[in-house]
Amino acid sequence: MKRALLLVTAVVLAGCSSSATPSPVAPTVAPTVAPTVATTVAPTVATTAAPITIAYSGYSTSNTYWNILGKAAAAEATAKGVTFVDVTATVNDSATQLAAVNSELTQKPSAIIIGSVDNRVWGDTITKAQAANIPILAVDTGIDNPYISALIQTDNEGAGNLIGDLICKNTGGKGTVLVLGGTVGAQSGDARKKGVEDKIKACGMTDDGQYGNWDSVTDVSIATAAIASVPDLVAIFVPHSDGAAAVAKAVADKGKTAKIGVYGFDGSAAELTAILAGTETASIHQDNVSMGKTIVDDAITILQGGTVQKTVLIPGIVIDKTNAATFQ
Amino acid sequence: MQRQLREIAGPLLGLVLIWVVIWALAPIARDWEAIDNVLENSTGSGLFIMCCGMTIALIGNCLDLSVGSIYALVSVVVGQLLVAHMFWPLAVVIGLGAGALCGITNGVIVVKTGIPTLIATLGTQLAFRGVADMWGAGVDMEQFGKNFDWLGSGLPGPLLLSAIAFLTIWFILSKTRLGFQVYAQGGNAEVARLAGIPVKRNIVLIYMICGIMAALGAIVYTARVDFAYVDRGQGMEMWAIAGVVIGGTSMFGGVGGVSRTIIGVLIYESIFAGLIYLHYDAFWQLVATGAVLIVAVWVDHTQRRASASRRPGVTSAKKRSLWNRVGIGS
Repeated sequence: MKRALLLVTAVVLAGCSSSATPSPVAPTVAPTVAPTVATTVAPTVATTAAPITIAYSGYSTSNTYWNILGKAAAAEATAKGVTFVDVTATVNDSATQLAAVNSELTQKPSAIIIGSVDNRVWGDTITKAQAANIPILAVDTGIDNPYISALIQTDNEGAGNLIGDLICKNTGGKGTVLVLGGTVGAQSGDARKKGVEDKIKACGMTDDGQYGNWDSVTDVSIATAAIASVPDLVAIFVPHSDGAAAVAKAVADKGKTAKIGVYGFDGSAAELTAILAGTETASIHQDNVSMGKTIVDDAITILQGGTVQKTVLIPGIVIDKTNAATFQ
Repeated sequence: MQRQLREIAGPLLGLVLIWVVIWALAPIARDWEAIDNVLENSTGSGLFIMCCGMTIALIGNCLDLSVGSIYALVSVVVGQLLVAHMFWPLAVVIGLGAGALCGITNGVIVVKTGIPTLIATLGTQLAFRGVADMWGAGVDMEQFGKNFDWLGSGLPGPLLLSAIAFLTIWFILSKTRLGFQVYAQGGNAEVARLAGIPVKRNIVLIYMICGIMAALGAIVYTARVDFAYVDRGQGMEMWAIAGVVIGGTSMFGGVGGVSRTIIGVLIYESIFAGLIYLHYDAFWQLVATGAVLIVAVWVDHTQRRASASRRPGVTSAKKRSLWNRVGIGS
């Protein structure tokens, strides 16, 4: 057994070495939302005085960013006197989310708001919703289907551009940047990654792209391995809050904060603390409260026969040491 | 000692070979920092400690799929207590107690209901994560202080705690009656029961130990990053199983040891780091680890079948019962 294990281990590693495509790897980017956002939609939903029930499925119940967004949406629904049914799953698993939304669809809610784990799985669900005349709205992550009545999200690619520009400015455009994505094909993570990569490549920096699967343990493992093996590493971008704060701490523990800047996304409390302490360079603030509130308002407007802007891209705001305290 | 060295010789040679390949292809990795990184990630993520618990679980044929959720739950429990300014050693003890309680719950469910361990711990995996969400979602838990921080930062703290975890499991498995019984019932629970071994009590103890180790792993990682977060440990049970099985502990129970787990985890982390050092995507880590895992289980399975067929009067009933227990057999 040991001999076989040894042999296979070596073969697997050697096989990977000879056949893999060296990074940087061009990410598979899901269709990004056009920045021209003025399209209005006239949904064909019958105006009714019947009680409104809005179903909502966010990314997961355990994600701080999504938790805040969901709470804001629920609060707005309560304020507007409509019933709000939260069917967000506890895990960020697209199959689980799909099953939850499909189950809720059988209860015939007035409208459904989806914050996708994977924006490519909704084809059948949308067909069923369309047949039942139930509008679907997307929040944070776009769903590439014309039936989607409204999308509100941070301009992820634009925010990535902001971080990319900042990296170029802080490093003088020299060195290698480890740019982490979420999971492959996740629209928001891919857009953030692309936004950063476009800018750092444009200013002449080397792009070392990887995917951390939205998992801080994996992010830290990739980051520390890169620190050990890329001598001119000057910056690390992590596309989510938990991972960014964890990587910032790992870089600080290695005494490399002065040499390697850590850039994050979401600007959670842990990130804000790290930015103020100087271990993280910058992050992006997403207005998740506004997103949660507005998407519920849009749903109500559509159900009442009104029109809404089909796509709203909210610009990200760069958080750095100069303004981090204002976000706490 | 000689026997233990013989047991780990193969995986150890595999590990050396991996590093020879890495050093040959990535000169940048030929310094201490590259090795230190693998050691830090093995210990600082809490994976090795979790694997120590998984080792005793797999030897005792008590598959535990809930360790990732215990990891998340304990992270939240300890984070909440530290944010409430509890004395950190007390918070750590309560965290370990929470892990033990989760483990006991697993054990009691398996023993009392008789449902396969795969299903039982799959259920508690969801339940524990739900509890973690209830307590920790949307709550800021960070900045726990330098003393607690030491448990996870750099190499010394995590290495010390990993050594404690290793020695504890090693002592239990090789120096106690419980350890002997774990091997016996992992090999054949029915024969062990007929021989007077308290199989049910031991199952509860095995899960309790596994839960404590998952909790300790969570505490180390929480200290490493200095904040707690509910969305952690997802899929980590698979990493833990991979680390243990790659080291040579059998998925089918009754065979293995925690010394092998050291090598298994180092192989797992070395493949991961090695591919980064060689500038390949992290995806290849999954492919390579998966391939090694499948081969390790296959070789173990083949070896057992060959060994069983060499023994007169021994049928494949034992293997059938093992597969049935995890709900795969016919």
